[in-house]
Formats: sequence, structure tokens, C-alpha cells
Amino acid sequence: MNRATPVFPLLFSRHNWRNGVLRCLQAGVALYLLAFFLLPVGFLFLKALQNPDGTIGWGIITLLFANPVSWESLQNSLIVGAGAACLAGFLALAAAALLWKSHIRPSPFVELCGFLPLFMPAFVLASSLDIVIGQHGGLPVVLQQLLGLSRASASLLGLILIEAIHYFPFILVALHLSTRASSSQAHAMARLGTPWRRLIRQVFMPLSLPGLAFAMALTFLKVIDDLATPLVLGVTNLLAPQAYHRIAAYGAQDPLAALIAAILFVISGLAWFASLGFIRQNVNLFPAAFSDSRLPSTGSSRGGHVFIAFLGLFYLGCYAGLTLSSVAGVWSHSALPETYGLTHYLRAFQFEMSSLYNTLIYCGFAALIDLLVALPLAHAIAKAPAHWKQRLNWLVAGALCIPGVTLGIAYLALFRDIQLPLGNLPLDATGLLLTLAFSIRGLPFALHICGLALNSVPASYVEAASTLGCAPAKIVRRIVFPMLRFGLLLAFTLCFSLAAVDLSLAALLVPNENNAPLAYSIYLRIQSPSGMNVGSALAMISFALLALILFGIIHRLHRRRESQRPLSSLLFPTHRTAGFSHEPSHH
Amino acid sequence: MNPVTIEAQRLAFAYDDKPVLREINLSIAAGELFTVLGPSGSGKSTLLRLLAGLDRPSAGSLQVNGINICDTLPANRSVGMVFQSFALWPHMNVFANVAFALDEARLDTAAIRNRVEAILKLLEIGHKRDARPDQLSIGEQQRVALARALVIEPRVLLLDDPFSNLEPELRLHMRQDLRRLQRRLGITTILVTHDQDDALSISDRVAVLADGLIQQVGTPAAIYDFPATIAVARFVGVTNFLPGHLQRADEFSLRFDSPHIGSHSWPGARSGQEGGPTLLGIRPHALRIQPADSFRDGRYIWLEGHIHGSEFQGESVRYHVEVGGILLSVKQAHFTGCPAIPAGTPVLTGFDPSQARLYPYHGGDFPATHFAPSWRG
Repeated sequence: MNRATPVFPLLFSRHNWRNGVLRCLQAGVALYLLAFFLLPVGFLFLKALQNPDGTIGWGIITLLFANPVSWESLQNSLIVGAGAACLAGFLALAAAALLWKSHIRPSPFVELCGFLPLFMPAFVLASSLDIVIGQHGGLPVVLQQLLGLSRASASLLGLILIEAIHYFPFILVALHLSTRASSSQAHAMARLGTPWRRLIRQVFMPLSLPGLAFAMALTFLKVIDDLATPLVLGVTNLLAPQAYHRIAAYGAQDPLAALIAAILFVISGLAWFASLGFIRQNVNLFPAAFSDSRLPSTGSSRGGHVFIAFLGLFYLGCYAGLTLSSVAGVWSHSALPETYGLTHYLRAFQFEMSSLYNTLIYCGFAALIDLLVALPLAHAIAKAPAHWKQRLNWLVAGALCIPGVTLGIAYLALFRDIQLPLGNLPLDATGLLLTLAFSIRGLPFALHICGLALNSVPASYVEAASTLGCAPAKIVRRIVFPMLRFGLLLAFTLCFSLAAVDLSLAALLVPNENNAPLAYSIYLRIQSPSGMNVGSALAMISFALLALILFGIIHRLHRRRESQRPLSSLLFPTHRTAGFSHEPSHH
Repeated sequence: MNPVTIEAQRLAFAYDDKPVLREINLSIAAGELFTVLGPSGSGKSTLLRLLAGLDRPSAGSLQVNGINICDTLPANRSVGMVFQSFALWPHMNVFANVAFALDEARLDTAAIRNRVEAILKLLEIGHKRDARPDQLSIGEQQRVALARALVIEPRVLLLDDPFSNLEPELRLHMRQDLRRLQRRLGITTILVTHDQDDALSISDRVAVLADGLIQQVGTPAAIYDFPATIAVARFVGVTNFLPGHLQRADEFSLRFDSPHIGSHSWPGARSGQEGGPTLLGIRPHALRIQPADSFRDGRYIWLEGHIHGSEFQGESVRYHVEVGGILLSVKQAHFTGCPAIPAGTPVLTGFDPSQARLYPYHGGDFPATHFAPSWRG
């Protein structure tokens, strides 16, 4: 009998004190979720519904929507979020169909590049393209002249375009990974005479729906939560900038800011749970990524390669402004800089290294907390009865759809007056809140990967060690941990990267400019004409760091492919159980 | 280390209140290669896990050399186990996998090296000591798993369907190797498998397990020739079942009445079986075929029928003979150059009653031979 057995019960089953440790860990996790997720959000809603006289009612809501700017902001946020998600989704669907038909297998590096939008703030692209589609850029002017649009509407279109360009690769790669496994079979059917039009309608479209829904939902959440891109483009009549400005003007206790933050949360939650129906249609969201059965394709894959090359060039072009700006010496009233140099990089290294250090501290600790929380939580979810499993998953999914702006405002409101026992410092002046908020935002991702990593350790590995006389602690050290290591590293990297680009939280919770993380420093620099070049250099440095991390993952991926099961089994499993191990197959 | 005896008394195990093993009583002699044979879900791997200490029995006792080991931790049972998937740790090479337990026992480096190299040499994989598990063939992986289990010099060796991942030719080779090794080491070994060829070919004794109950324990030949229950007859080899009723014919004999084959006197049948529905079980090789108009040997029960089809199987031909509305499987030796009897040919199918077994039947669907397209009784 090849029974799937959770790994940890084998280690904990015979010793009550070890069970006690596990229970304590899980209680700690529950406390953490309560204190830093449920309580702040609950408090925010309470505050948003609290009338000036202290009673609960609709007074604040009436007050908010009495102002036409609020209505306009709500509409604009929905338009920009939905517009960017739909535009990027539509373009990605067409592109994914092309890739599916051409049956190409991009290298893992190209595939991972598709995830870059999650690890790179959109405002960097916005600043690079500002000259083209910014508020005073060429495209809005053309749109104003051609279509008679107002400047504000033209700016919104520019914002939609930027966000769509930014998130397009992410949606494309989600679609590609959702459908690539069926590409071989589609080619076999095409060889047998089935028209491609029918294959795309009846095979590609249903298979792509879960990936499309997931990626579009995430895009929508990210776009309506995006604070920096609208500010860089000078568009302020959106919910997130409105909330930010109110906090900046009236402080953390402003009830209207709390209400706007609560509305953002409700919109995000509705969007996320609406998309869950589609996502659940197929649990194998990304089947067999990075490993595919090879079948010679009927048509030429040249079209697919040309298309990918075109996409690469297009994105390089998009970031050309930033690259040029980072190496520009004298650049005035000319198409290209007159002189080039690395002065801005030197200045970035000279003056902005503290922000890099801050990023390492904030994001490193946040990612560490995520691992410490996600591992026992993943185990608890795996062991929980089915109905509780679903509730716990939903709770953590709730953390996925909480916008950074909402969480930031909730933290400011709840923890404003709390003093740290040592040093008598206010909590919000330490950066601790930023770390905790980052960890909450990264938790769903960490939980997902930790769950998969736990699944990747077959129970028989632990049992084999157990029958050979190994003590539980040593089994963890010598068998379980080495096998979890790659998953934990991946989860840490993912959480770190996501936190490093979370500008909405950073803008609200950063104690002061000297303690700002890198993304916020880039944002501040890029905003000012004198710091634009240094900001660009900083952005390029973070690009380089990101590329290094990507190469590190690719390197590990290749080593795993040669030695163990592929990354696909960890990242994109084709099974659906959580927390239960599976025996490796032998072919 | 001297071989040990194993005794299970009223051993039971339930998983989520669902009984998996019920009242298992077993006695395994020292140095015996004992096989637990059963279909998937019969509880055979659970029995092995109880022996290894990976699960705790819900009731009953488990004794090694007369000492109850139910409360003994797996680590202290001196049990070597080979898992179905081999469970070789992918982040360690062959040497580290095998040396793991010795390392844990804090033996000195030289002793570890000597023992690991000796066991690797014994299993003819010494040249692979630095390879990682994924660089080994399946056969080599199995040898490493065996080496890892044996290097601790266990008192009991447990093998969880170790041949299931192997190609047929390698499987044949490996089970003979295992048998030789087990005889050489003299270690008490328990093999669980769903494959009757594995069980019958190398075991000293076999226990057939079905639905959490031991159905029969005996030598491979006894199990095959005299299956005690319908479940054993169905699972071990192929059996033709003919439904009918056993009636008392006279003071000394019984009569088997079947709607398919008519009424036949049954001198060997035990009294006490009569009166109820009964299944007659007969192995395909115990049936013979001859032309319809040929001489009928009086020691046989003869049934008239015709050839429904045939399967050429190399050293034999399996005929499907339609008799009284049901299909019987008949296995005949193949002689070079002799063509198979064509479909539709009328034939006589006969069997010696002493080769057949009668089983009291207690309801449910009649079991059919697995090759029969349908049961039309």
C-alpha cells in the first residue's frame, strides 16, 4: 500500500512534547495572523464605518461620496484596473494562442522573465515611458487632438497602457504555462485534420481560462493598489493616490482615508473571489511547466521565436529611456545624450547604499517571518479536515487580495500610539511595521510554496531513516531540511522580491527617508528632475540584482533537473493534495 | 546474528476507524522467506508497517523471538526495510545512503567504510559508490536499497513489493538474486507483493491476505493446488468457477447439480457442504480437451461444448470453451507445428474430480474467470 502520509506526523507521532512544540508553533501563527492581519483590517473597517460622534453608521460613506472627486476616483480606479487587466489579458490571449500553435518551448529564463512584472514596480516603466504616455507626453496630446479626449481621460488611457504593458508578460506566461502541456496533442490532432480554429476554440480557450482568470485577477489587484505609477504620471484622481494624499494631509486617523482603504479591500476581495470560480475549474493551473513531452510540431516554430524576440526588443525599448538616463552625462534638447558616463552609478553606490541595506533588513526579515509562519501553517492546513482546509486557504487568500494601501493605512491607524517597551520608541518609527506588513503580503506566496515543498518530501524517505535508527531531530536535519531547502530558498526569494517592490506599503509605513527601502528611494529620486539620473541608475542596479537572482534560480533549476525532480514538481504540481507526500515515480 | 522467529497474535489495525487488518495470526520461522500475497488494498503493506514500527497496531501482539515489540520504536527493532519506491535519498550518493545508519550509530570511519564496501561488493554495486540515486538504473537502485537495509545487520528484513518497478527479465533475475542472498545470510525475511509469480517462485511459505484477513497460509504449491477459499482461488492463478448446488445422492456420495454442466456424482465431497449453493473451482491446466466423438475416460467428468476462441501463449495455448452457456478456460501444452483448434469446433472438455475444489457460496455475484467476457449463468 502506497499510502500518502504527512511527513511531520511521523516525526511527531510518538512524543507528546514534540506535539506540544508543534501546537505552540501553530498557536503562534494564529496569533500572528490575528494581530497583524485580522485585527488591523477589522479595525480599519470599524473606523471606516464610525461616524464623527462615535456611532456606527453610513455617515462617513455619505460624506465621502458627497465629494464628486471620490466618485470619479472610484470610477477611475475600476476603469484603470479593469482596463489594464482586460487589455493585457486580450493581448496575452492572442499571443499565447500564437505560441501554443507554434509549439515552441522557450528557455526557463524566458519563462521566468514573464514573472518579472511581479518583481519590478510599474512606476519604473512609467518613468521610462513618461515622455511618451505621461500626462504631458506625446500620446495624450495625440489622443486629445484626434479623439477630443480631455487631458484627464487621455492620462487615464496612458496609465492603462503602461499597466497593461507592464503586466502583459505575466499574463502571457500564466497562459503559456496553463496550455503548453496540451500543445503536443493539439499538433497531433492538427496532423489528423482538425482545423486550428476549432482546436483553439475547443481546447486552447477552456484550458487557458483558469490561468487567464488568475493572472487577470492578480493584475487587477496590483493595478488598483498601485500608488507610485499614477503619481509618476501625475494622475491623482484614483482611490490609492487619494487615500495616500489624505494620510499625508490629515494623518493616520483620517476616517475618509480609512474608508477609501476599506473600499479598495472590498473591490480587491470581490475581484479575487469572482475569479476563484474560474481558477477552480482546473486545479492544475500550471501543469508540467518546465517539463514537456517533445513531439515534433507540424508547422514551423520560427514564428513563435520571432514573436518572443520582438517582445524582448519591445521591452528593452520600453526601458531604453531609463537605461539612457542612467548613463547620460549631458542631455539637453537632443534625441540622445551628448555625453555618457557611470557617474550616476557611482553616486548611487556612494549615497544610496543605505537604501539597499534597508531593503535587505526589511525584506529579509519579512521573508524570514513568512517562512517561519508559512511552514507550520502549511502543515496545519495539510492536516486539517477538508472544510477547515478550505477556510484556512481562504483566510490566507484574503491576505493575497489585501491592497498594500489598505494594509498600510490599517497599520497606521491601529499601531499609531503603541510604544516599544525598550527604548521608548513609537512602533511606527522603527520600520518594524513595514517588515510585518511586507510579511503579511508575502504570506500567501510563501504558504503556497511551503505547502508544495512539504509535498515534495515522500513519507517513505522519513520512514526509511526512522527504521535505520535515526532520531526525529536528525531526520529533520539530514533528510527533511535538505529536501525542503530549495523550496524554502525559493519561497524566501519570492517573498523578498515581492516585498522589495511593494511601494504602496513603503510609501505609507517608511519611518523616514533615511530608512527608506530601495524601491522608495528610486521613486523619490525619479520624481525629482535633479535625481532622475541617479534614480535610473538605482533602478538599473536593482534590475541587475534581479537578473542575478533569476540566474541563480535557473542554475539551481538546471542542477535539480539533472539530479532530482524538476522544478515543475515544486512550482507547478500536477496533483492537488496539500501537505501529503507522493512517492517519486521511476521510469 | 541468529535468525529470529516472528509471531503475530490477533493483530488488528484500523485507519480512521476503518478496519484494515483483522485478527491476523501468523507464525514465521527463523530464517524463513515468508511472503504476504494480496491484491491492492488488502492490508499487506500495513502489516509490513506494523512490523517495522511505522504504525501501531490497534489490537493484538507482535512478538520477535517471543518478545512483544508493539511498544518498541522503529529505530530499536533491528529491522531493515526496502520500500516499494526504494526511498533512496536523492541528495546523498550511494555510499552516503548506505552508510547513513552506521553514521547515526557513531561507528568509526574505518568501520563504516569497511562495512559499506563489503555490502556493496556483496550486492555487486561497489563500482557505483559515488553515484547519486538518479544516476542508477532501477535494478541498481534496488540493490542500493537492499544494501542500506542489510548494512545494519537487521534481525528481520522487510521487503515492500520490491520487484514491482522492474522489467520482467530484470525482475526474474533480481528475485533469484534475492533468494540466494537471503539463503546465504539466513535472515528472517518478509516479502509483501501483489504478484503471485514473485510469491510462488521464491517463498518458503506464502500467506494470502484479502480484505484484512489471512485467507490461507502454506507452501507455494499447496496454495496453488489447494486454494482454501474462493478469494485465494481467484487471486492465485486462474480458476474456472461453475455454480451449482451440492445434494446428497445416497448414503455415501453427494451430487453436484449445475444448470450449466448437468448433474454429476461427487464421491470425494465432504458431508456438511450439501444443500447450499456451491462453486466448483477448477484450474485451466486441470481441464483437458479432446474431439467430441472420442472415447470418454470414465475417471473424468466430461462436458460437451465447442471452442469459442484461443490465445497462443508460447509454451501453451489457452482455449475458451463454451459449455452450457459459460466460458471455461483450458490450458493445453503447445507442440511445435501443431495449429490451434479452430473456433466453433465441437469438443469434449473433461476433468478429474479430484483436481476440482468445491466452495460453499455465500451470496453476491458469482465470481467469473477473469478472461470470460461475461457470466451468462
